[in-house]
Amino acid sequence: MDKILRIHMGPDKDPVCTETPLGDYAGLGGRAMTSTIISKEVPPMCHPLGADNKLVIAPGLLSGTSAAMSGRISVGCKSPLTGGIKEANAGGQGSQVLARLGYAAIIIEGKPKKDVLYKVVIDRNGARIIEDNSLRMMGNYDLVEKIKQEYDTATACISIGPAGEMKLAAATVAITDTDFHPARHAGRGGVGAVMGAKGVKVIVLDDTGMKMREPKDPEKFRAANKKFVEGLKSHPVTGQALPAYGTNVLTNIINEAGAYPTKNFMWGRFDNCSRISGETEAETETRRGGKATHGCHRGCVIQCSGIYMDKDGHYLSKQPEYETVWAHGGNCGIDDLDAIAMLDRLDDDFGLDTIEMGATIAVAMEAGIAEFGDAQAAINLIKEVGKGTPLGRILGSGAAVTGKVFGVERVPVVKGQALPAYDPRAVQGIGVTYATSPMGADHTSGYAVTANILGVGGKVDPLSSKGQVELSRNLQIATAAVDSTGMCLFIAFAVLDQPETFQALIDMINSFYGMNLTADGVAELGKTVLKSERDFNARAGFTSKNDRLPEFYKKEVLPPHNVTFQVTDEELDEVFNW
Amino acid sequence: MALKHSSLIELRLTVGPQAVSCFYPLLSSGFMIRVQVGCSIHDLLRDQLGIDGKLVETHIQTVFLNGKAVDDLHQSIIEDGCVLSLSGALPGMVGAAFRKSGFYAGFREAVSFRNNKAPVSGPRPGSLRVKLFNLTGPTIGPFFLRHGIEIAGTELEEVFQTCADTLSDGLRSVKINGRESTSKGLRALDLKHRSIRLFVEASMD
Ligand code: SF4
Repeated sequence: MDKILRIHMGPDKDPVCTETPLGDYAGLGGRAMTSTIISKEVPPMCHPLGADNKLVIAPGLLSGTSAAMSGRISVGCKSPLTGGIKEANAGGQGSQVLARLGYAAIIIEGKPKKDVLYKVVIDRNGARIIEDNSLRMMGNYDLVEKIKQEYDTATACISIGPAGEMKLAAATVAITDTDFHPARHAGRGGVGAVMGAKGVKVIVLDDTGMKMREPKDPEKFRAANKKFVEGLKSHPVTGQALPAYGTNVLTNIINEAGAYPTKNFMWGRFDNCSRISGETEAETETRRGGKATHGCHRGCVIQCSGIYMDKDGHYLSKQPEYETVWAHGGNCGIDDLDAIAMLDRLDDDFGLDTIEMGATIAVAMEAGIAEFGDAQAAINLIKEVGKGTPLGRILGSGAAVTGKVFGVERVPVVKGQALPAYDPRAVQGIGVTYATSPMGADHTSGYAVTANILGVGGKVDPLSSKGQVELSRNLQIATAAVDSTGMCLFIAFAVLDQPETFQALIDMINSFYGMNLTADGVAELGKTVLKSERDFNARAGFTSKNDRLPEFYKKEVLPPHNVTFQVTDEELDEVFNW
Repeated sequence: MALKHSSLIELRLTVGPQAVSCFYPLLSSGFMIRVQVGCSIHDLLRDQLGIDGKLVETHIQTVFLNGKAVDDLHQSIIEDGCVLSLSGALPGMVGAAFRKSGFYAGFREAVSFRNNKAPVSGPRPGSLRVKLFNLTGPTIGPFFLRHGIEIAGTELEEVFQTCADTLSDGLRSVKINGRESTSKGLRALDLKHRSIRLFVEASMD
């Protein structure tokens, strides 16, 4: 991972690929790499779909090595959905393969002068860009099938579906998984629309003949990795709950807490939630011959994913995650797992963010475009997006645009991005993160619960609302750091409870690179990343007014606990005063 | 609110170890138990259900009483008609927030259970609704099944349908309303519109 691939798409010349050394970007990975490049090279006021925006794709620091859990890939740009900086990350095989090919980042810049579609092929001999209009408006599933026939040694694809080609703000970048299904998505913020604006349909990766990346101190690295894996396997979340039920294990509990946003955030409980819970999903998968435990990339030892089969036992989609099941399920009043899995499949095929689309359909349902609970209507609406009809293009532009077009007041977005699956009135601390994250409403900012171990921000009183602000700040710092390692965020649980597992992670990075990183250094990295992202947003015109939840969270009580969001604007403004 | 007694059937089943899992889906959708109320959650689990403290500590990470997250099992008192939900450790920021006495408990302060321990008049008979989510089914579910749970007959009917094969191999003994019976007798029962008090014991084989 000692080089960067720059793909200049024009319009001054025909597309061209060049390799450059890392230079100032040496030592960066994942989100640290994407956000540093965007912050430094992209004019903040540029149009997200214009020539000045860049799409950066970066593996994590330990991707391509034998380190467990190291295969997350980060995709960054100025977001067409939020207008601010964006990093969206995904699992799948792309990160491992790209890292083994030696690339610390791919930067796609400029804009083609003609309306032409390209594919980029990268193997041990380098990268080449090829015009291929036969791929136009292909769904991700057909696309990777065609690519596999053409390049039989291809080991991963990074692609967009029709939504990306149409430059819709909910468009994703798809990454193929271990079964070569395009089922892992850098989902949030419309990164797929930026790839579409660059005219790149697919990046075909082939690491045949490439070796695993070698650590500087193989013995120490092996020992640290072993300890890390032991820590993950012995922890109840990473060793039991996630492998058994996946992230959807949360449905019953969040519902019990009255924090499960139901029918466009009108209620905190969904009556039929046990029909779509992780327990039911795992049982359905196993009964139909799918899998309730599956890794999205090689080297994942937690295996929170699964394979969902239809009623006839044929592959339909990967196991829909908690966020997807909520967005297309309870949030739309839908309690049919097969319909939700179909919506997941369609989203993946068209290249759409499941959270954004679920939130959007719920807004459309509130507007009367369809009835809450009508699964077939939801499927038809997603198909409209895939076809690119005028209604479909409105929906594919996300919840904020849809709310405006149809005059809906209750639109759950921050910085234009839809809120994920926890109502901030019941879990106020996460509301602080939703409001202030530079990414827009983003649940993954809260997945890295490592802040107390990192000791960032010192000791806080978690029961005061000031404490919630400080916790949110610390979580955001910790998340930025974990995102930069390229590790799956689910490692955070073992790391939270088991300091020796956190030390093993630092030891892995140190023995791999010959560094002397400490816990403080990891926290510092997180702060640096967040600062550069905040700085980009400020230069793009964002102010504290953008760090707010929509008004209805303060005004409308959420049943059954009848609570409103209580954290004040002044307290929200304290989040980034460190 | 206990199920109506008039239509109650008492069923005592002994099943092979493999067949106990057939009954776990009943546990996550919720069931009634009859206990002495007026005690803490901790005492209920330990003294009345026989779940030892270590098992409670390791396997019950997330607890809700009447939909509110509980931090202290000793200070939270069970009253007649309560809803008690138990879960293992959960992923995600919010999973961590709901963990009992977790570092991020402040995140969900708005829906936290306020300890209600006060001088109590002493234990008295009552009932509560219990839900056992995710891994608490296999880990502590058998204690509840041994104690006896009350469910609707249609729910049990569904279990008999989905687990027909496992149960036909795994059923060791049947008692209906205190009388010895057989799997045939069980199949002949009309469970619709009836409430069932179900006891399930795992045999040693
Ligand atoms: S734990 Fe889940 S999301 Fe993380 S790498 Fe494994 S399968 Fe992918």
